[in-house]
Amino acid sequence: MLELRNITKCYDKRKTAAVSDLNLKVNKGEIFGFIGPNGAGKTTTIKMITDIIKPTAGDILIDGVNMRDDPIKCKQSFGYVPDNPDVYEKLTAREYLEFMGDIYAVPAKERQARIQKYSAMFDISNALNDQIKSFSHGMRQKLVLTGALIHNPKLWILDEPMVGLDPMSAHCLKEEMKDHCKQGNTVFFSTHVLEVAEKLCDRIAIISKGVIAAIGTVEELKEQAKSGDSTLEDIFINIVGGSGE
Amino acid sequence: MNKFLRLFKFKLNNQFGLSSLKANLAVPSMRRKAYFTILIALIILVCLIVPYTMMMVMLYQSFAYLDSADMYLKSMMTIAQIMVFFTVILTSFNSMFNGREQELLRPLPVKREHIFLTSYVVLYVTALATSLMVLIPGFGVYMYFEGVSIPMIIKGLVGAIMFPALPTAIGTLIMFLLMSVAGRFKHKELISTILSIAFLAGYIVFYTLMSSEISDITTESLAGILDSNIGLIDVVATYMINVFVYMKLMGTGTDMLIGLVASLAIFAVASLIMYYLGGFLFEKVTDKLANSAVRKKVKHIESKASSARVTIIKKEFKTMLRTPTYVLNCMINVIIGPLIMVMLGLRMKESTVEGDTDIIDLLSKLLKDNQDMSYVVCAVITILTLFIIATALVASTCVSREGKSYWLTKIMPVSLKDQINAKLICALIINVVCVITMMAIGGVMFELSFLPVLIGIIVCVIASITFGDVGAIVDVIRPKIYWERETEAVKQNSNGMIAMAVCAVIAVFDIIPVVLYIAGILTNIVIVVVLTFVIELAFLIAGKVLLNKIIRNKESHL
Repeated sequence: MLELRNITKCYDKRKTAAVSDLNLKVNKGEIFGFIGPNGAGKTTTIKMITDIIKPTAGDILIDGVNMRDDPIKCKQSFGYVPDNPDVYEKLTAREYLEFMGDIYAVPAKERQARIQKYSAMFDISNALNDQIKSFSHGMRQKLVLTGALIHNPKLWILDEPMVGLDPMSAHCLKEEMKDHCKQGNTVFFSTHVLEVAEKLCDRIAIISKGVIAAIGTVEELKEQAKSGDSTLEDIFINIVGGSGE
Repeated sequence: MNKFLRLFKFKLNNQFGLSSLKANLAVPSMRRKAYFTILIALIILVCLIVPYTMMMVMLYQSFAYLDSADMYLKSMMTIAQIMVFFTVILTSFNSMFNGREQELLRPLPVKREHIFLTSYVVLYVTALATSLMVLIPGFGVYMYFEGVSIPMIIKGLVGAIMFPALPTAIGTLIMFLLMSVAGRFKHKELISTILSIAFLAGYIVFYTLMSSEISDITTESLAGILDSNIGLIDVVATYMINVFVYMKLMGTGTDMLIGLVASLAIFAVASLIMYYLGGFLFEKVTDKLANSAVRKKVKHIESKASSARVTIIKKEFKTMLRTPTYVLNCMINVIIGPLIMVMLGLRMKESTVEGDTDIIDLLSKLLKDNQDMSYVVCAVITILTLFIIATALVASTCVSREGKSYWLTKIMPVSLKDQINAKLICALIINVVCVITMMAIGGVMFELSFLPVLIGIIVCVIASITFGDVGAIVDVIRPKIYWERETEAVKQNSNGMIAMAVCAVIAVFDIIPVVLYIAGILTNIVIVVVLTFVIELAFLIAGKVLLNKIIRNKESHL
C-alpha cells in the first residue's frame, strides 16, 4: 500500500540529511507504527509521504502510484492528520468538514453519514456550528481526524494522533483503526506512546537520526535487540541508545 | 517590577516590530531587508508629517490673519486630541484583545493586572507617537513664525508627554464598553468588521470633504471660515479639558502653574483609574467574551456537495469576511473606490463655473455635444478605477493568508494551479464589484452613454485579471506562511507592496493610448480603444504564462 524507496531529505546544504536512504514497505491490512526519538525524522518522513515537502531523492508509492507521477491520485488515496491540528479557524466545524467533503468529492449523503458517525464517536456533535478558533487542542484534533476520514481513504497517515485526545476518544480511534485494517486497508501512524504501538501495531519501524534502526513485528524486534521478554520501551531504548553511540 | 518591565519591553518590541528588525539587522543576509523596512517606515513618516505641516502652516497663517495665534494653538491641540482618541479606539482592540497572547501570558508567573497594564502602556506609547506627529509640526510651525523659545519647547514636550493620558483612558474605556456589547453576539468579528468599515468610510468622507474645502482655498478665505466658527472652536477646546489645561501650561506665570498642576493631576487621575480599575474591567470583558462562545444545540443541516473550486472560493470569502483585518486591507478598494467617486461627484457639484452652472452640468452638456468627450471622461474614470484596483491585496496575499493551514493546500487532491485559480476568482469577484460600482457611479454622474462605460468596465476587468496574476506570482514565489496575527499576513507583508508597484506600472502602460489621444498624437477613438485592449491582452497573456510556469516550478521543487 505504501512504499518508500531510498528516500532522502537534505535541508539547505547541510551535510547531515534529516532522512537518509530510507526504505519502507507497508502492506495492505497493516497497522504500521513509526516510532523514534525527537528529531529522528518521523515528521519529515510523514511530510514527504503526504507531499508537504519533496524528498531530495527517492520515490514514494501509494497503492502502486508514484507520488512524482500522479500526486493528485496519491493524495486521493490517503487521509492525513498532522501533529499540529491547525486548520481554518474562521470556519465553523461543519463548514470545515463540508469543505473537506467537497475537496475529496464525497457525495452529500455519504459525507453526512460520516460526519454524524465520527462527530458522535469523538463527541463533537454539539460543537459543529461553532468556529474552530473556539476549540481546544483536543477538539481540533478530533475535528481534523473527522475531516481526514470523511472520504474513507484506504490509507490513514496519522502523526501522533492520540495527543490531546481524551481516553474515550483515543479508545474509539484505536478500535476504528483495527476495523479499518480488517477491511484490508492500512494505517500508518507515528506515536511516542510505546504501549499503544506495542498493542496496536502489526509491524513497527524505529527511526533514529534519519535512518531506520529496526523494523518488524514486536517479536522480530525483540529478536533483533536480543532481548527476550522485554517491552517495546526496552527494545526502543536498546536500539536507539545503541545507534546513538 | 522587574517582571513588569521585562514584559513591557517584550510587548513594546513586538508591537512595533522592533524585535524582528533587531533580529534581521543581526543577520548579514537579512540586513538588506531590515534597511528596506527602515526606509519604508521613514518614507511613511515623511508622507504623514509633510501634509500635517502644510496644513498647520495654512492654519497658522489664517489665524494670524485674524490676529489670533492662540486660537491656532487651541485648534492644533484639538486636532491632536481627536487623532489620539480615534487611534486608541482603533488600536486597542488588537493590542488588548489578542486571544493568543492572553493564552500565552496568563499561565506565566506574572500578575494579571500587569498583563493588562503592559498592553495599556504600549497603547499609551502609540497614542503618544500619534499626538507627537501633530504637535511637533504644529509647535514647529508656531515657533517658526513666532520665534523659537526654549521655555516653550520644554513646556510643549512636558505637556505632550502627559497629553495622551486622558484620551487614551477614555478611548480604552469606550472600547471595553463596545467589546462588552459585542460579547452578546456570536459573530463578534462581523460586528467589528461592520463598525470598522463604517468608521473608515466616515473618516474618508470627512477627510475628502475637509480636503475639498481647503485644497484650493486661500489664507483669507480660510480665515473667513475660521472667523465664523471661532466661537465653536473655542467652546470645543474649552470642553476638551486636556486642550484647556495644555493651553494654560503654554501660558506664563500663574496660568502656567495652573496648567502644570492640572496636567499632572489629569495624568495622575487617568493613570490611577486605569491602574486600579482598568485591569478589573478588562478581566470582566474578557470573561464575558469567553462566555459568549457557549455552544448551542446543533440543528440538523443537510450536506450540500459542490466542486473543489467552488468550495475553495467559498472558504476564501468566509475567512476574509470573518476577519476584520482582511476586510480592511484586502477589500478596502471596494469601499474606498465607490466612495471616492461619490465624493468626487459631490465636490464637483459644489464647485461652480460660469454662474449657477456646476461642473458636472457643464461636462454633461459638453458630453452631449461631443461624443468623443464621453470617451475621454470615461477614460479618466477608468484610469482612477485601474489604480484603485491595483492596490487590492487579495491576490498578493492569497497563499500567505493560509498561514499555519498551509499544509492543507499541500495534501489536498487539488492541483496548486486549480487552488490558485480559485483564489484568483475570489480576487476577481471583489475587484469586479469595485469596478462596476465605480464605473456605474461615474456613468450616472456624468450621464455617459452605455458604450464608453461598458468599454471602461471591460478594460478594468481585463486589468483585474492581470493584477490578480501578478499578485499570485509574487505570493506563490515567496509566501509569508509563518505569522501569528493576520496583520502580519496582509499589512506587514511586502508581497502586497511589490504587487502594487508592478500593477501600477502595468496600469501606466494601459493608459498610454489615452494619454496619446489627450496629447493629440492619436486622434481616432477607435484606435485608442483597440490599442488599449492590445496592450492589456499582451500583459494578460504574459501574466498567465508566467504564473503557470511558476506554479509548475513550485509543484516540482517543494
